Amino acid sequence: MDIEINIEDSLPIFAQLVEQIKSAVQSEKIKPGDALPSIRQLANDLDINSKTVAKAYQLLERDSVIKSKGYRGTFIHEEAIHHTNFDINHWITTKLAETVSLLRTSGATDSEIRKAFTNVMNNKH
Amino acid sequence: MSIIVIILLALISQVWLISYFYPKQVVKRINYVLTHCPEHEFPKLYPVPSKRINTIKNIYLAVNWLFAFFGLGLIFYFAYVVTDFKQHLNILDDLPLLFGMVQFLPLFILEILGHKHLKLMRNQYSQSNRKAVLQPRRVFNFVSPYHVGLVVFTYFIFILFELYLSDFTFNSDASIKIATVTLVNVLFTIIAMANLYGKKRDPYQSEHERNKQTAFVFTSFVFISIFMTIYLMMHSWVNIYELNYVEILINSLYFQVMALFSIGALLGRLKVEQINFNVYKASH
Repeated sequence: MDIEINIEDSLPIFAQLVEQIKSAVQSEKIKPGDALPSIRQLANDLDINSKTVAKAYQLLERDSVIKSKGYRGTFIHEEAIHHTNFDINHWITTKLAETVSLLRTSGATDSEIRKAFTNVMNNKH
Repeated sequence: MSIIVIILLALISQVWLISYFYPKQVVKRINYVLTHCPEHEFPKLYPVPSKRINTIKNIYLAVNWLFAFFGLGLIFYFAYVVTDFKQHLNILDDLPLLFGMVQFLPLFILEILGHKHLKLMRNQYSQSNRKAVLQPRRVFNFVSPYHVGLVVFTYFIFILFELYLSDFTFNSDASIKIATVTLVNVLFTIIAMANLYGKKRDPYQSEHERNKQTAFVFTSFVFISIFMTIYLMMHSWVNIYELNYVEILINSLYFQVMALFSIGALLGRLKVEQINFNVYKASH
């Protein structure tokens, strides 16, 4: 199974990697338990920075699509197919929309919400 | 057949194989690429003009032929001109070794030029789409574990053998030989790992071609390592019994077998006719 990235695409490279690995899992081109190339191998083959691949693998591991087994390597998670259906971006947007709506109903202005959001993100609360 | 005749035949064979036969095959390979993949159709293959490649090829062939004549001249000198053959045995036993190193020089230079050629290809590579296979490459996909085991076994037998000959003390001769074999094995491991996990030397090379090349590198290194270790053991053995005639013979055979495992294996296993050159086309 090949993976193909476009370095001039507006979508960041790590996101392209995440998307393609998830889509390969969904289409069963790679199956649970299959081994993935090491970070160094994939980065060298695609001629990209290994930190980019590491970031993609980190996000896939967080979403339980892949599983790192130390020196033995990285493998597709047993429940990967179910986990690829979960869209974290959609979930964040929905949760934020609900919170913003609640704050507006409570009388908070948009600038107050933005300021509070920035403070929370910067750990200044 | 006397030992002198056997030695003469071995030396003639060394000159013929390394300075005539294999260079001719290498040039044939270059000619195949130049004829079947012209510059206007396969521009990605030529970061330098094909004329320059032709010139390098001709110089390579000329230098090899020069070495072949020189080698034959040396054989003639020691076979017919030198009257007291035995007086020159100390020079003669190392001669195939020194001449063998000189014989390999054009090939080393060609290898360095090839490396530079690939570097220029990488610099010119401008495709924004990049592909990779989503499967790990592992050492034992390319080389049998038995072969690797054999390399390790030969290495330890060699150390034991050298220590046995030096009464289990590290004298200078044993230390140099053990250090040489260790360093060569470390170097082979580094190169093999770079082939396995490192960046592609040729940016247009397909995964299939790369895997073929990696398997070739591993197999060659395994056989060269084993043979080099056996050769050094034999070298120590003939030195102890002062078998100078045998030393000339094994020194000559060493370079011939090395050529067989490196250039010979390359020409035989990575046949130029089977390489997919379409990836170097302008339209690809």
